[in-house]
Amino acid sequence: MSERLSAVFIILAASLLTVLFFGASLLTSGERTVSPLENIHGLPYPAARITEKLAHADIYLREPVLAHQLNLTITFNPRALNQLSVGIRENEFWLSYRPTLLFNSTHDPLGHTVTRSISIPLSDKFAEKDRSLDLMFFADGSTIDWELINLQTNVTRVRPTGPELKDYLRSIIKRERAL
Amino acid sequence: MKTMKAARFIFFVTLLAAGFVELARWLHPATFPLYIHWWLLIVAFASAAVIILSHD
Repeated sequence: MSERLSAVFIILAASLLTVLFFGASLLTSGERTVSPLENIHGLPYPAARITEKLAHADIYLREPVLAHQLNLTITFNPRALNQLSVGIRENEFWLSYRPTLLFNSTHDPLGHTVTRSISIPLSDKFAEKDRSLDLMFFADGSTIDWELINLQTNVTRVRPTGPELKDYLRSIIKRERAL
Repeated sequence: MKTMKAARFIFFVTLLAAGFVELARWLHPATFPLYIHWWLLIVAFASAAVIILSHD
């Protein structure tokens, strides 16, 4: 009986230890590093001057995506384009992004430095094995030419909504992996 | 005897926790970083060494 009790105690202690490790990682926040911008073939753009529709970067998180939010401060110079949006990959499909509009040439003038700050909840986003997130810039226009001057990434804690939590649990149950 | 009991407890708990961490990583690789798994195994091996050394 006492052996069975100690086995139960060991299982409980191991579960608690695992939950504690996971819980501690949920409390982290701060600035995170970003890889240089590259095109969809993985070739880096020279001097962050983007001339293609898509530009990709990795954001290296130190925590799971659950209960976190990404605050982006983007400074860029739109030389020639109609629209510029940014998004974080949502699931295993390589182009699963919900872009947020940063610049529209009908409202903002071209050729001037623009700074935009946006917040993206991460709980329903896709993290790679190394915990990195895929960030993608979507440019639209007949000629594309813009320059990324500065990109600041800051991770903060946030309470996930019901659908976000459901999506996070679904990604665990489905064993979501990059296609 | 007390040291051995404590070492046995730590050994089983850390080994099982390393298993749980590995299971979580199998389900969702971004849940835990790999180093947590290795730290747990290092503690488990250290407590196994204590068990062996304190054995009569």
